Amino acid sequence: MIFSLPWAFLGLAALPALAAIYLLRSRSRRRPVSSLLLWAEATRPHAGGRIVKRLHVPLLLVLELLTLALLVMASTGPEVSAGRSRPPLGVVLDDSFSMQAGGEDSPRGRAARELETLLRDEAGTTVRLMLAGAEPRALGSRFRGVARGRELLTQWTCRSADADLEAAVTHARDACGRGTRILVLTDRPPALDPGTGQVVWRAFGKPLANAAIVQAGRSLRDASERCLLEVANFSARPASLTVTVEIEPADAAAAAPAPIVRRFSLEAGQRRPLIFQLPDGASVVRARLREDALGADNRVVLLPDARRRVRVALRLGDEPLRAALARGLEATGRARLTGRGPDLLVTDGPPATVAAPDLWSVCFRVEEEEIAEAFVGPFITDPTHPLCAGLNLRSVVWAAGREPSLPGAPVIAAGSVPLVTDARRIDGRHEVRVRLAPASSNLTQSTNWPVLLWNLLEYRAADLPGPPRPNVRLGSVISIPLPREAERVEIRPPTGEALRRAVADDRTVLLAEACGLYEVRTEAWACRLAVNALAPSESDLRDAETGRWGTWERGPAAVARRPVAWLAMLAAAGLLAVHLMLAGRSRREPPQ
Amino acid sequence: MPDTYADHLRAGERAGMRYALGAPRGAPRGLAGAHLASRPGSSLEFMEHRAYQPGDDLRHIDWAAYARSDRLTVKVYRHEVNPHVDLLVDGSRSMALDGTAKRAATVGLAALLATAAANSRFAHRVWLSAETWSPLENGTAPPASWGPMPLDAAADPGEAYFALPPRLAPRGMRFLISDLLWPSDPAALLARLSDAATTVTVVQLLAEEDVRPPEQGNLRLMDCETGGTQEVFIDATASARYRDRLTRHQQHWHRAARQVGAVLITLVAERFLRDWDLDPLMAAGVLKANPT
Repeated sequence: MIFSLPWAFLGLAALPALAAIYLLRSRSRRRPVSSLLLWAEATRPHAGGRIVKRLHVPLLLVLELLTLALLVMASTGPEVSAGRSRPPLGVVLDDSFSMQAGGEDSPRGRAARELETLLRDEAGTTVRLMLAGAEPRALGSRFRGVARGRELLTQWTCRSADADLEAAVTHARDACGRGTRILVLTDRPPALDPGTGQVVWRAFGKPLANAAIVQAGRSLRDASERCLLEVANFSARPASLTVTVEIEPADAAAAAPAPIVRRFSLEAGQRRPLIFQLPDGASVVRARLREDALGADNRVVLLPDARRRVRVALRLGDEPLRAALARGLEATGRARLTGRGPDLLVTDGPPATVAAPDLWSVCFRVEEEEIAEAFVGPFITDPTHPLCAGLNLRSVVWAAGREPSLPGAPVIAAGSVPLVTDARRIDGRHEVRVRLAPASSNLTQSTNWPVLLWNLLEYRAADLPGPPRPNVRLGSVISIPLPREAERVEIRPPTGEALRRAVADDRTVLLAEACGLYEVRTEAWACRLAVNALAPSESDLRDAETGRWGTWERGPAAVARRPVAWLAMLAAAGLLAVHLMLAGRSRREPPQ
Repeated sequence: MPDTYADHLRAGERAGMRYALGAPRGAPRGLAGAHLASRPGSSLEFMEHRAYQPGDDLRHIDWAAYARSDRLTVKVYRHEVNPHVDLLVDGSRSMALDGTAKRAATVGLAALLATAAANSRFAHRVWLSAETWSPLENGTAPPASWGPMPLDAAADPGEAYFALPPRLAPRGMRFLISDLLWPSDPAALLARLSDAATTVTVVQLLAEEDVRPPEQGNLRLMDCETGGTQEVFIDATASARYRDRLTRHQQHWHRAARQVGAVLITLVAERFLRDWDLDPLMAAGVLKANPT
């Protein structure tokens, strides 16, 4: 038996104290009586003296001493060896899609069967499952037994585009505690043999030939849209491949164009980019290869890469500044100057006071030249603020007044003088204030001007409803702004049931865990999101292997312990109950 | 609360004024008793006439009747008795157990009975046990005149009685006041005590502590008479056992008392002193309310 809190044995000092109390309390008191005639049969107590007598110990004292001893023992945290049970087991499950290679005989299937066998053999072992995707994620809580393990393994879907096994192993060590055995279940050998220690690496992969679409995208060029695909032949021999591209028209009523089929040969390990010209108004583009060992990388689906344009309204009285703004905004290609329903109001007057819930404001405070002072730096920028990304104000002359007060948090400042501030209103709208004397500044002529305006548009666009990018990789986590009036959102994945959630903070977060088209819908708004595998390292199965690397060391960590404090507490409670019963019976005795 | 010997005597005497001793049912003989006996005697109360028989007192011959009838006729007078009361007080130390009211109750009860006897115009004598039984100094006088009653003897009153019995008045009323907590055979003692006695009344006077066992725990009990000690552990069982032994002891004395026609009552000193209640003795006919 091992005691985790041995200092609690100090509590045993209470035992002699209790015995002393009893002895003092039970010491004979002298009492004269009329005659000893009637006491001839009385019980004689234990007493000191020359004659050795058997001790007469009151039963209640015995019970109290035993109870006290049991309570002290319980407080020491006693633990017993749990027989042949092993230390806790942390199992790292490779959640990348390469684990699905091979269909029924996939690495995932074989690893799951192996794990079930292990769980059956070590029924008493505490096990924790850890999914190794792009980021490690715990799968359920600790458990024992194969039944719960089998239930949890249904969530091991292998749909991630990446598997950070090292991070997952570290996470499993932290989560399972000291002395944990780590078992990694994957399809590839480790970079380094773990040897004897805590980690055992089991791979269940097979080096299969696989062709994959490893890159895909859509872009506008010369006013026409193109689709770029990169196909790779991850096999040991040349392969003849066929790519089929299907295009959905934006107008559902219009007839879909005929699929584009392209046949070509690729040498072993060779990649080939393919470019397809897309017709005007093309909506969803789907490309596919012939089915092979790994299905997830044979298909891509692409949405138009239509970057959201920010509607900007310019209301400035300073004509040179207005012209500089108009020029700069146009140069970004992200703004659409309009006077109706703008997303962003740029003005040299007060900020927007209209009841437009989504209208952000940029207020230029054009300083008088007489009071303006030209600051040449050093400028202090908030590197975490989106407006400051890529800015380099080293050669900039920024003229502005010296008055230190400007509402909002400083984003750019010259010493103690804030030049750009950002204030977030309680309704979520932002008010950016810029202090500038344009005539004495070269900011609008510097390269920082379009950068600043780009950042401004990106900042605003990031809060417009819809995903930041329409095409994302498998395993990505996307935060999607929603319209302000949205209360509930429905996410419809490519497979499975739709998820319905309440909207919090005008956003929803989507984990792209399946390839295909996601649809995000609120009461009066909808958007789509295309998710593709596009992970060459996962598609390349040539280095997949089956084997075992490393052994678990035998040592003190292999001794499992089971706390038994509860047993002592239970026994103490039982003794107390007997004590109470005996004491109660004694009190109920009639006095005469 | 009075706690001197004289106080106890006065208190008992005062309480005894309410009582008188009941007349004995037997026919004790006395020389000039204050009570009329059922048999002829020498009192002045005329009972009947009868023919003279040799040996009759010539002073009782009715000469007038002889003159009328020429027959010797004697007047028969009712015999008049004057009963004597012997109060035997256990003088052992246990009757003055420290921390109890036994001393006050013993002295007070003796004074009460003596006063009640006086109220009934009975003569009395107080005897005190020590190594032997001896008369108390001025024990025939009213309690206020009694000599000291030490109650410090170590001897067993029963053994003392057999060692040198008191010279008790024949055909008298005898009272024994004791806690009876001694091992002598009660039958033998009561048989001797009731010999030539009109009535024998035994008053067992116990302290509350004698009746109610001590509280639980370990005690070193000390016999106040012998000085002997005994270590005892008192719990519910021991208490019950003590009470059983006391009951058996009392039953033993009751049996012996019944055999000799004696009356035995038990008084608890503390309760007795509270209101000097002697209902058990009244019920037994030993005492009655003082008519005067």
